[in-house]
Amino acid sequence: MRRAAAVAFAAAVPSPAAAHVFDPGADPWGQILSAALVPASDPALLLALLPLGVTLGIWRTDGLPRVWPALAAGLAAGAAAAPLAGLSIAFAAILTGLATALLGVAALAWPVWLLATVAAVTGLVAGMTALEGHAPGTLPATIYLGMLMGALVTVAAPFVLVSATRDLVSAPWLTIGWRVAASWLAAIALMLAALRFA
Amino acid sequence: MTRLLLLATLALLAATAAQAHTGEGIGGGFLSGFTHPLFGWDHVIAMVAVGLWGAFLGAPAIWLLPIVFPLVMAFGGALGVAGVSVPMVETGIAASGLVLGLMVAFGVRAPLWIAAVLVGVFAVFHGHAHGTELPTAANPYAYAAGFVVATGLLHLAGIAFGTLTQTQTGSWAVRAAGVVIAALGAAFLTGVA
Repeated sequence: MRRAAAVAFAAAVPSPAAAHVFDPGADPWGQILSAALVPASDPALLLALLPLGVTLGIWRTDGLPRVWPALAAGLAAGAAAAPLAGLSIAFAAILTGLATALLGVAALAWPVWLLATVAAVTGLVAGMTALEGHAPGTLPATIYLGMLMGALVTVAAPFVLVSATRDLVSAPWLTIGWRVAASWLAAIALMLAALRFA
Repeated sequence: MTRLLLLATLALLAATAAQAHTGEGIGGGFLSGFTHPLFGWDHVIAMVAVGLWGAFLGAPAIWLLPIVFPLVMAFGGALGVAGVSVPMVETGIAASGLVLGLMVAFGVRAPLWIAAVLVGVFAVFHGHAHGTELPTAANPYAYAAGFVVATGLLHLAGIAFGTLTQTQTGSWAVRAAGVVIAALGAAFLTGVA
């Protein structure tokens, strides 16, 4: 009876999904690189991280430096909570990106706490998506470092592009152009979120 | 033995599909989505007309309409992906060319909210047509990105041409383009084209 219960329990406990397979046998640089490239290869992660960079750049030209501790904390929390992530985490990542992009489209004078919260939530879902199913400590530290670097670069690259161009050109059409870009990201995210119901 | 050799030779000589570019994967998915609005004249004329009309209406419509269209189009696309039926999609797409073309041809300066609602309603039809094809695309992610970018570029093309409205001659040229768009829309609507 006890054995049957143990078997039933083992069957009921979800096994790690491990959407992204890392190669712990690679050299440390290879591990960092493979983890850093995960955001570039996962559309759900891209759609969570890119809108944050664009929105922060539209919000303020110093937007990312103001909220990056929240983003980093979110990523760390996401890495810790990764074993809890199910298949719906990619859907949550896309919805987060959609909401973030809409903040960029609106381009209002959002309070710092709001964008910091958005950055933290984005970090949380991005960390959980990138390391989905991997319990803390089961991967080398270099994998976590690479994931952190990759996620930060994926946010920083569009942010630098948006804020630098806004610093160089103060014409209103430029900000409008970036808002249009944010609306494109929102449109793509909305379409892909709908795939869940296809 | 001879028959076997003959069969083997025939099998070797028989032409098979080349399949160098199968259209699958990210590149194929993006290209498929990107070309979908471009190869459909009913889509092209409506999206260019949105840009032209925005240019006629001036700020803030010139940038608001190209933002409204992709967002509402994505909503229509989401309905298509989810399998929610929208009545008379093809009729709505054809009507969008006719109505938006007429707006440009007559230089109608509608209130912003009316312009946004009108453009938004038509965007649902266009999005639904794209959305129904999304789940079967080689790479749905790339397909969605491709057709949103293509749609936006068509708006930008319309806006760029619409900047001619700053001169009297240019304004007439833009209105003439509106006439052409309306005529094409009418042709699609009546089944002539």
